[in-house]
Amino acid sequence: MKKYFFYIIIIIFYSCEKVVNIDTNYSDERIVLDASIFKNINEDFATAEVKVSKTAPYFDENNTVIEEAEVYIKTRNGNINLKYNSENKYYTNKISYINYEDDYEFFVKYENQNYYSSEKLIKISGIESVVFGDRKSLNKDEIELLITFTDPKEIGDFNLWRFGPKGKGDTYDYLVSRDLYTNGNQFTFSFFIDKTKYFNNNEFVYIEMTGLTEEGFNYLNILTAQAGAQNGRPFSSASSIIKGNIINQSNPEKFPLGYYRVSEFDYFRLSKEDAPDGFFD
Amino acid sequence: MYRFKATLLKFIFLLFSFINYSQENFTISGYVLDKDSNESIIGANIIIPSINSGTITNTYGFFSITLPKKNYAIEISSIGYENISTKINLLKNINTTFFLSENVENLEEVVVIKDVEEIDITKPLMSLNILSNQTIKQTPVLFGESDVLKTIQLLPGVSNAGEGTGGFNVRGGAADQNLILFDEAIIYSSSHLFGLFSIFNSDAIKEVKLFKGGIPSSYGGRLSSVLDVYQKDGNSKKHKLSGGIGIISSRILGEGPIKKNKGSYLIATRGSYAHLFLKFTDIENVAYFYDINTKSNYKIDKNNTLYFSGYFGRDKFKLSDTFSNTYGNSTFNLRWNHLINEKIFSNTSLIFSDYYYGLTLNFVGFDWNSGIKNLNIKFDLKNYYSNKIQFNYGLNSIYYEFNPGEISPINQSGINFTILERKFALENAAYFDVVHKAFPKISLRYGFRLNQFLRFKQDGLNRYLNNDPVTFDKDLGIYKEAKIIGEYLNPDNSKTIKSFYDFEPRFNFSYNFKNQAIKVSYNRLNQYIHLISNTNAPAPLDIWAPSGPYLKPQQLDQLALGYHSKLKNGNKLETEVFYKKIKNRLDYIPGADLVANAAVERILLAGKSRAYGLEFLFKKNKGKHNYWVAYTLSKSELKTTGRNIYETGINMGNWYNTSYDKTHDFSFVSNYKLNKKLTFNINFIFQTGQPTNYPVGQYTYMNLTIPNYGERNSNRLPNYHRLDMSLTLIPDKNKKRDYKSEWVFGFYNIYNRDNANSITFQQNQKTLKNEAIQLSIFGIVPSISYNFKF
Repeated sequence: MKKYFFYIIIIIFYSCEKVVNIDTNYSDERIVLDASIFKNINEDFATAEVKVSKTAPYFDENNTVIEEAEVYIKTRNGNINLKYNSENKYYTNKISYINYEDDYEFFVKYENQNYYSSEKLIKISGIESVVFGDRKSLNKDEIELLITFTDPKEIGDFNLWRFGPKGKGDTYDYLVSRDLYTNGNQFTFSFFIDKTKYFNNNEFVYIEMTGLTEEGFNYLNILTAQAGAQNGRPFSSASSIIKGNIINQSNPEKFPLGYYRVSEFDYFRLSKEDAPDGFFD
Repeated sequence: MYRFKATLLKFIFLLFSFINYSQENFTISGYVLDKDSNESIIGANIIIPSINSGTITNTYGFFSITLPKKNYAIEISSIGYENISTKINLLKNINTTFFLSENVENLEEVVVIKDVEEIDITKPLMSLNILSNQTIKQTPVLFGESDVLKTIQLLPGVSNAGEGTGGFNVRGGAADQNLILFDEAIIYSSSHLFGLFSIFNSDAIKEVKLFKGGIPSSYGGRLSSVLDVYQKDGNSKKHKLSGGIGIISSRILGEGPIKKNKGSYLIATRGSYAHLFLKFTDIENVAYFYDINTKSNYKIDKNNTLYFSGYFGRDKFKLSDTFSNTYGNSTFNLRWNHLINEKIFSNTSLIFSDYYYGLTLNFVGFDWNSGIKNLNIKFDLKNYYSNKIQFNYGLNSIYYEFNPGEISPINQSGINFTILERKFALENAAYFDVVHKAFPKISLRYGFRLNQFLRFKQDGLNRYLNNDPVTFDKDLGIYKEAKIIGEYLNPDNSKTIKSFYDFEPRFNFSYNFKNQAIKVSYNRLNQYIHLISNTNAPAPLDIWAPSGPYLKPQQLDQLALGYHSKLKNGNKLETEVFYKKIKNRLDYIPGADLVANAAVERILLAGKSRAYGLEFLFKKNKGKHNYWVAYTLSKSELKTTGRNIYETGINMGNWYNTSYDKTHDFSFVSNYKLNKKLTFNINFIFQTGQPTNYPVGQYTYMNLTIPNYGERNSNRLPNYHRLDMSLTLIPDKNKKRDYKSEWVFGFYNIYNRDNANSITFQQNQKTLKNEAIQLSIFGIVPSISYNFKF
């Protein structure tokens, strides 16, 4: 919705955007933890993936990934250590059994600091279908996708939708949603993606659904807005540091950035071939 | 407080004891009207030079002055009109009407611009700017249409909330702290097309008053300012038509008698062209506004006049079948002026005001409707007690209905029909105001306002643990919305669930000597309704929320000190300093989500705010070349501390700049009359850049590049400045005919400065490099318009 206000501003005003040079000061260095345990809705096992990095000056392109951290998940069957994979730069391991009741505690030790968080597995309902839609966006490269799912009454209050290539791509589009006004219903919503970004080099786009806690929804709602992924510029709120759900037990002031999520996931593979004739012309 | 009241009463008693009752006194009262149209003249001077006394007409053109029995020479003047002198033998009460004729511009001599703006230096009022219709019309503005809101932003202490937004900020106050009155009706959204045009059609406007401080007790309910806009009454002598054709919008106004010299009507309408923006994109789209102003009055007899005013305006946006959006104000006002006797003037008003916002999102599948309505009954009395004392007092009652939003599904979309509960409240006030010329050199204006605000019972008002709608997570160090534990239950089951009572003293002092005056003012004001918006500028979707069990009223104290001087050549200099502090200013917890939020108390914390500054205004009003120079140096800050030792507060509990803190604000407005055909206008504006945040670092999460931010509003956008020019051309033919016309050619932002509206930081999706992107809204904008009158 925010995006549309932005377009109206663009339409009615002779506005212009340009890249400017701004000097930003670098301060407030922190550890960043991108941590998740995801379980496919149709499988029993889950995969834990954690990336440990550091903040960097805003215009730097240097890699700040940390390879020497100790990362593990505590389950009822003992601790599961995550091993560093230098190819994708994540610490990963498989969790062979996972349930909805247990707490999955997350630990990172690095430079004498202990980082900690704990979450339960979130159940989701799954995606029913994704098709191409025929509504037009103001941006000519954008095409409409219509996503249908049924929101269960009891679960699935908050979801994160990811659009993009399979695996670890460079760019994704994200959408966070809540069922405030759709609880208990089958619901179809539309989302516009840039066809040049996804279909120039690929035959498919993957639409992935994961569940969120209310805190996770709030976190990602602000995070995606501040990353510019929502295009909500003229009406976005004042930017501020975004605190996640991971604490520093050794020194609470030096809390890490990032978030720890434990959720089921479902995905839908939409092929370029499924589009009506002439859709990509 | 009681002690203070007792002292105040004693003081009032002492002052009144100076009044001398020994002589026999009579009253001269009546109206001052325009000779050609019978339009009442606001602020006309009625002066009795022999005794160095006088009065001015009120907002209905009425005056009354009581003097000892004697012969007097009286002068009646209002700048822009020819003065008249007359002799009156005051042997009994006299009721009369004075007619002034408009100055026919004598071209070889100096030309005087209408000068109701000139507040008599001796008046116990400060921090007040008055603008006539003519001044507003002479300021070059965007798209060739003169505009009230753009003109007031050229005054000291007033800054704009950013291009592409409709708001303005007064003395470091928020945009929702301005009370905007249009023929007494409260206006909730003052602009069309995101600030491109104000809702005030300048053709239909008689006068605009802006109070920035020392606000008289007849006004209340907002903290920072009062913008009081009066419409014209309409010509009760002959039918007239005027209008203008521009590149973006056109307008037309008709006025005339209903019954000659008894009653008149005025109807004005404006609209922008619907498909104007079509060319920017292939997709079918619509973006336009229209509005209609109406006014009529009827003089029943010499003691009774009825007035009716109405306004209806809508903005409409539509984007093929994806999105459509409609919003706007409507107001309706019925007034009855009644002269109780020659000294007591009364006005009773019944006012209805409505702001509607509607949104249809086809791609999500719902309709959204929200708004605010109020019904206002007012009763005001002006008692012209003597030539030294005037009492103003009255009652005011406003009933509010807030509709935070209603969602209904379209096309079986799977959206549940949802109503965010409506809220109801009643705001009552009684005020008493004395204008008192206590000594020859000292004038005072003092009074008070008593407020009562009642929040009524409603469904869906939540209850929280410990009555606290916001909780703090100690481990994570973040504020969270509290869990709802039930419905709010009213202990005594009455209709009112929360009430507030406030006493607001107001005081103005003026000491005058040799065309100079030192002025002091103090006022306290309370604001019971709050705009829920975490954006830097007002947006149409913003929602108003009333005070109640969880939101306390905002309270302001303002102290101002001024030095006003009238120089020999008629030029004026006004310097003022102000300090204000505000309690219970709402601040938002980080990441607050306001859209369709049914319980806004869960995202708000009460903070405090302060602002202080220096204002300077130099005004040259006479001669071929008129201009003013305005400069403001100010600071505006917010602070929200933790409510206990564990909480961090907002921005770690430190003072931080409000997003409307502008250190320097300079404007120059010039009007140069070259000859009888050509007038040349310029304005120049410079403002310190708006506070914002630049990132202090970056990180990656979910393969997104996230800027990391530090303290709130610790950086600034680049400085804002621009120069506008316009040229008005009056054809020679005008002199010989009834049909008058003019051409206005203008340039907004003539040197095409890219003023930053915002700077955002994000990753370029193609190069994957981080960029700072500046959004600018208006570059150079040429305009041309043709205005006519007959």
